[in-house]
Amino acid sequence: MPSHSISKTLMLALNHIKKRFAAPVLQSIDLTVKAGEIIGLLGANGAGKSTLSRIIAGLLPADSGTMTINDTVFAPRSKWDAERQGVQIVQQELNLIATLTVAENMFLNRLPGRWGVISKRRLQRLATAALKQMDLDDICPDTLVGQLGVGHRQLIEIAGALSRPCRILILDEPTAALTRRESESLWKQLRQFRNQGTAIIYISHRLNEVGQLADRTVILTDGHIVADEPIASFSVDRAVKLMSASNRHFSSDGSDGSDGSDGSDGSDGSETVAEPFHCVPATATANDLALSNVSQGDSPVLRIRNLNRPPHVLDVSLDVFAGECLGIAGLVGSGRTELLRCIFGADSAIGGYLQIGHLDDHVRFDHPQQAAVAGMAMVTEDRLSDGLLLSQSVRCNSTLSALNLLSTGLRKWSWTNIIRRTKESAAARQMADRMQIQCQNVEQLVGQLSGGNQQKVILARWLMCNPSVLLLDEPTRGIDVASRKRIYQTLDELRNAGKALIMVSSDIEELLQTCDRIAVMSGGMMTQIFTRDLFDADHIMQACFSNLLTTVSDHAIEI
Amino acid sequence: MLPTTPPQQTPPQQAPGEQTDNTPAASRVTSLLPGFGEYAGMLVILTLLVITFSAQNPRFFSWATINAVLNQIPALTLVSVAMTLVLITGAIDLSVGSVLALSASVTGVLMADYHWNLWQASMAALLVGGSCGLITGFVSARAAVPSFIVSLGVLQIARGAAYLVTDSQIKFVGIAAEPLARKIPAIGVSPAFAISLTTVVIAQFVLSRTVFGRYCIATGTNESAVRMSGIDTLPVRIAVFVISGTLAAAAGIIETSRIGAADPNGANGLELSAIAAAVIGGTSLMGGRGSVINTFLGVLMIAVLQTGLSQLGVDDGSKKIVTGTVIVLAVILDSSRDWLRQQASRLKRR
Repeated sequence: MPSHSISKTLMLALNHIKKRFAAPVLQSIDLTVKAGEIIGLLGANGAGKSTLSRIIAGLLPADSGTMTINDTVFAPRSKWDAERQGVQIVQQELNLIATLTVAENMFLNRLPGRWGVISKRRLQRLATAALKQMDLDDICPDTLVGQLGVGHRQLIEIAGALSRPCRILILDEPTAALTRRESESLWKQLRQFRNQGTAIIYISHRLNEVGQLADRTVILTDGHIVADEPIASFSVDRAVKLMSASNRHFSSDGSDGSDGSDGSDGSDGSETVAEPFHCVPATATANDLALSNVSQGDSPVLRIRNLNRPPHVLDVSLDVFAGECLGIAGLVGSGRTELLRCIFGADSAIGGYLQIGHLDDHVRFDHPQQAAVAGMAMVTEDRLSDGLLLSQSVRCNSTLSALNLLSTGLRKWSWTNIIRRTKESAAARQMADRMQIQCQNVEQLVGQLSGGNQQKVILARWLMCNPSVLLLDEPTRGIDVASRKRIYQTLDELRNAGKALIMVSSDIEELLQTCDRIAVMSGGMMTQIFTRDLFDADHIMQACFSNLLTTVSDHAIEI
Repeated sequence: MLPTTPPQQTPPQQAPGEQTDNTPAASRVTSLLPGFGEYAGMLVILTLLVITFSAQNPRFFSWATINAVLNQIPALTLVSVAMTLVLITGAIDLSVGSVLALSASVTGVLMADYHWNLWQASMAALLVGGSCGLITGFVSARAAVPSFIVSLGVLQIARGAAYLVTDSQIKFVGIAAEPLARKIPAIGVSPAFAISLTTVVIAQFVLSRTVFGRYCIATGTNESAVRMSGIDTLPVRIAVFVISGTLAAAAGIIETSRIGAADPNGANGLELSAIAAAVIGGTSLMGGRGSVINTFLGVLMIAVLQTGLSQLGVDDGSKKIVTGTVIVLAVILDSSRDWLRQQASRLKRR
């Protein structure tokens, strides 16, 4: 076990680190981290920041490439292994156990004691010292973690990491849940640790925070380092531009090899590099129609007014028109998903209302059932936990929402209705054909299908209900190109059939290509709406950051 | 990225269901025997049990034995059927034994002390049982308390109520309650058995063919997904408990009729036998999977074991040990069946 004596000469070096999941996430990363320096690691959603930090911390193995610390090979097999060598990580999702005390959590993997009996006194002493180091004197080490707020939990996790031998500290969005005061005290501590020789990798969306704190900024875009420069030459505008620029070469850099196969119908992303504002000439008529509808002030299919559910959805108003696909852009945590869930009634809003179609009623849904009855549908972000019945068949999954349409009984909507089996199977088969779901037959279990086909099953489920408003949360995340293409096609069909679509996506390029308008959320608020003639990746990216730049302190206090 | 208007622009709400061809002949044949393969395993084990006992004891394979088994199982069948539905939704009902005793007590008291006839008393008992289920279901679904805990509470409450109602005494009703248990010569079985068998058939139909049954399975598989599909799962979760309570009450009436008396101490631990029968039949305790027919075969298996072992003169202690072993073996067999199927499909995909 290496000693954790801190040396000024410490240097972590990454050589050609590569990682791919479904698509390449990191493409040959070279990076050095020196002792006594804070690196601000920046990047848009999905740029690979988290993957990179997880590789350094031993949570993920790299596909290829090497890491060295002081010229000795560093290849952590696990988080524990990395921790032994002085690399600590505090992730965005906290890893504390709510039913244990602060002290127990901080020293969980090295509880002091003898013969398996914990020495409470020594634990207390260690914890007090570690908390003091972080200026957290007001927290009693015997408090149960469950009784603390998110901010304190974050700080305790950082204190825990710093109490271990720590040569390199990785912090992923550490201030997301902190108030201004807590953040400032954290920064003070971090600077102090830096001066003592700890290297810190600081990941944040809050650019001015990074500007104040870091010694060097590294900007990741689509798995490449596009900038690695001292803080002196850092500017927020340039950083935003660099982060969004990446999206440009998203599919043209050859990473998405299979993209070439469907170039014929124009879904190849590289075309848009040349002509970023429009997808395919042939769609122009359809899109123009949709647009002119909007500009003529047609009455919207769905009106959202002042929808409120703090802290993630703050006073959001929005109109969605028939035959329109409205995109919602925003960083992770900007409230995009929460907004959709509020609209659909999965979470209840505490203020505001919806108006659907021509009805004057002001409604607010408390359960998705009400939304479904009102003609809405939602494709959830996490299809495994909120979407599919994995151990059931394609048939059972795709007909779930429309069972009553496929059954006979005394009343149209009733539990006692008897499912007409032939009709159900036929409907499922028909939908599987239409959506090109690749399965042996509709009795195959959904859990055995690929991600893309699973997503098509969920779309099929809603198509059977014929909704007038369809909410889509990251509908193409992590799925293959062919399925993606089929899903875009389906969205287009729906749009032409006069349905209103709202689509959340982290992939700005996808929004630019599929949507008629793009609304941007930042810090829970709707900051700007772009119409097609104003589509511009840079501007949209800027809008994504807008609320984080101007109101960083207010925002933190609200939480 | 969006292509032009697709050529096969099908209106999304095309009345689904007109197309029936393109089913491969093979799958059409299997659909003629819906799920027979599912029951085959249970039937084989049951047959093996019968053969084993017959070999050990020539008297086993006789009308007397069959009668004994058939007379024994109606109550357990009803409770197990309900338990299967509850387990499929991912919940559990531990209160059925006590609810059975309470309903039996109500029947006994009304008939013995208030001279109600069997039918009037039965109605009252069913109402009591249904209410117990309603309470369990409502509290567990609405207050988000695990049904394990709520039904554990109701288990105590119902048992206590049974003692209070009967003053902790066995209520003898004698011949008045007999019609349910007396064999009808024309059909060769008692009404009690006919009722339980009918319940099995109806429950299987409800589970596999109605919207409610599908919601039960879906809720047990992934409740959050069902919710996000625009379905309210609360009524489903309450309804299975109401069914459970009502069927437990029916079982209580049948027991009263069989013994000719209502015992507030009766059916102790019946919930565990019911869970065992369901689990032997392949019902998943995690929800989402189960079959009423298989549960019924599980009940038969337990009954055959009990009767067969008794006839061999095995003592009570050993009987319990054998039964327990069979339960564990059945579950292991069941989970390995899943594993085998997975391996098979994996091979097929290669």
